[in-house]
Amino acid sequence: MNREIKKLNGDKIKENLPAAGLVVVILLFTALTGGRMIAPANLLLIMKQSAMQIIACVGVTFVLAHGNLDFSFGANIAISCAAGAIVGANVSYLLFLPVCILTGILLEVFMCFIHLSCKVPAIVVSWALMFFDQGIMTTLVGKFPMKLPGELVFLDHTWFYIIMAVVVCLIGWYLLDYTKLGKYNKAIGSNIVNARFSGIPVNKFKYLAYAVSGVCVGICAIICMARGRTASTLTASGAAIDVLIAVVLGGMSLGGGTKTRISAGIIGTLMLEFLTNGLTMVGADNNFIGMVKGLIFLTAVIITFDRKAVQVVI
Amino acid sequence: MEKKGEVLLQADHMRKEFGITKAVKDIDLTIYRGEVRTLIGENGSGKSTLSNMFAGVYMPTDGKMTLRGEPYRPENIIDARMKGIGLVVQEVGTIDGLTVAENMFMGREKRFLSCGLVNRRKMMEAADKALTDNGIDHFHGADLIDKLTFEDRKLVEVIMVMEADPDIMIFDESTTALSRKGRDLIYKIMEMQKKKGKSVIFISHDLDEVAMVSDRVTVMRDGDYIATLEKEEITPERMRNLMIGRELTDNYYRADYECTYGDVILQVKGLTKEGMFEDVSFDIHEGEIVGIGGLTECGMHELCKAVFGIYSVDKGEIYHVGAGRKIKSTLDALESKMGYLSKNREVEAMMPSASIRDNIMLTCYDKAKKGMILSPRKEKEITRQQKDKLSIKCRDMEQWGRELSGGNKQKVVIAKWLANDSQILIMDCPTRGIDIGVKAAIYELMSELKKQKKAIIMVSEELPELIGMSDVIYIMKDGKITGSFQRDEMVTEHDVIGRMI
Repeated sequence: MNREIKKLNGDKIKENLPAAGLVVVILLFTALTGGRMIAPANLLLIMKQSAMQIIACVGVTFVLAHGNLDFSFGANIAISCAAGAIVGANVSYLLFLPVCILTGILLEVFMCFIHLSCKVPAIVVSWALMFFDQGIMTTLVGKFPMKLPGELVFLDHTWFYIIMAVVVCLIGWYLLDYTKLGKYNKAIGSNIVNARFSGIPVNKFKYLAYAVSGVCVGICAIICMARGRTASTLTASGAAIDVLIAVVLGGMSLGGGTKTRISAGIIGTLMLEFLTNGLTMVGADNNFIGMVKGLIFLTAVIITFDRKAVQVVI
Repeated sequence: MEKKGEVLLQADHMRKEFGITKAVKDIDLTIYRGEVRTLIGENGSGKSTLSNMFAGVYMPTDGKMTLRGEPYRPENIIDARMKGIGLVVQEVGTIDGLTVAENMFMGREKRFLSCGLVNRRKMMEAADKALTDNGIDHFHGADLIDKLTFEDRKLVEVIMVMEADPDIMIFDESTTALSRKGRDLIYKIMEMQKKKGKSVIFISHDLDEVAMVSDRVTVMRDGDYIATLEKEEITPERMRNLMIGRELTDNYYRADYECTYGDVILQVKGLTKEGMFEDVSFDIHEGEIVGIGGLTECGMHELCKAVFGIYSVDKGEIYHVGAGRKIKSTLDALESKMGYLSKNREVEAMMPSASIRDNIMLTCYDKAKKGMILSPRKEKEITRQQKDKLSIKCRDMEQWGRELSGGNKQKVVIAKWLANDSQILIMDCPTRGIDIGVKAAIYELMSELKKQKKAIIMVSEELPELIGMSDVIYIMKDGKITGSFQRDEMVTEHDVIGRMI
């Protein structure tokens, strides 16, 4: 019994470590900055800056749930910005929002299509798409102006970002934990063979996961354009990696499975934002901040890696 | 009474504790030269732990071992092998990415050194010789081990252990997943050991196999030594009773000898898939247990997958009479209330890193729907119902699947299909690797399901199980059905085997 209790406690600790880490970071830097970090204006700023990445994490979480990685997320955001801007400028500003979202869905679903019909690992397809996107982006940026339609400038408002993030999180949570979409994707991530042998239409649900991810790509594109007003080849570059680091920090397993949670992305993103914000406030330079982030990420992986899944029997 | 002979291994007061769990409590064991000693016992009896202590896998918590008269305390499994006790494990004991020869001589490459480099040619030749000496000619030393079947890999592992010429070879449930041919090879190797004046410690759940090969059988239960049976006393009934500690008064298999069933519910017509099976046809009726038997590669395992819609077929069809539809995909099968329990329980039939609840609900989320949400409370209700009905032993429903014992894992898999009100269950080797107590429970369950007019297709490599449980048995050989037997008291294993080989 003792051994069981010890193991239960060990598991419980692992589960709550990310949240605890977040609390520690907040408390630590509140102290170090003499309370400046939790001033209402600063908190609002942090939440505004976290919004896009949190939405990105929700999207990536669905694909991660069934065990696939997506390195094209950022590049897809850029293309969606471009598509939205071009259509918005040449047809109607009203189409900007739907086009961003539809482009996101199209790109992500296309990636899934290649993955399933050509039977190529999704991660490889995502790299290919990433390069493809970058090439297209460079071409487009040269030929078309990429501006947010003037009529939509009103979207650049702190509360718009925060509310979008909250809504996406709530819907994401509902879909992941309370619908077949989420349950089946988690089951696929846990054991794809078992999912197939239990009658689950694996391909259909993989497509649905990528579609959800695509919607998030589109929303991120809208936020990106709203904040930056233009799109360039640098738009959302590195977003895919930032998202990966955030979800791992938040306790997500990269193999997916039934332990996949929306909260991982939220906690991880907030932890990094508070960290960056706090360190900047006390005067740390960018290199130092980068080092700290790297160290924390490494520690998180060491603690949360599921060693049992890769045990070797001598 | 056979003369006992010289003592090879003497183990006194062996004890092994893992934290608070007492796996082996206080056991004395004497292994004599030239004997095959089988250890039997339910899961948790300590037989594996005990032999793992002999083989250097575990350090004993207490106890003394003497090998060939000298004190024996192996540091690890390689040390034990060098000193004379070699272990062949149940799971995969060979390493991917290397050739057969590299696996076979792992750790002993020194003997092929010329000028400081390993002479690969010599190693391949030695491997080829070892294989042909054992009558194996369908693969060679230069082959990549990944390309071999599980069975062939196991044979390579056996030869690897034999290379060290151990005084005692331990086979820990190594025959469980092997075909007739593989098992025969292992029996031959055991005979050879005996002839050389060496010994074998054998662990198996297959009591008929045990009765056939053993000189002595030692029974263990809950970490305690129960008894040792000499050759004349070894019978499956005696062994079973000693293992459980009580008389199995109720029938182990089915109590009746009648062949009973209702209307046709599923028709398999002319099913053909190249390389797997050919022109297989039979009907399945409500309340019928259809047994399918044969050698491992006869195609029956693949047939199961095809009937459930996992494999597409080249010719023929599966027709569900009740629903009036053809079964072409797993979705068709699921909607027609069919269920499939794979032979590879942990890898294919369940999610080890998910809770019991997630495992059981996988097929029946529709039942937990409350409006637009899947209700956790309904999930818990459904799961609890199944847990109680099947007496699944677990800490709670959130416990991970991989922490359960083999028998309880199988109960979870069965529960998954019962939760979806499955009417036809395709069970591939349902009691493989499960101990006696739970086996009996599963047979009882199958009888109960039969009473409820559910149909069961049971594929099994254990003849007694097939004969004991089925209303009709179809025997397959090389992909075709070669014979069928109606349930009858007079059917013997001899009759059935005749059709298999």
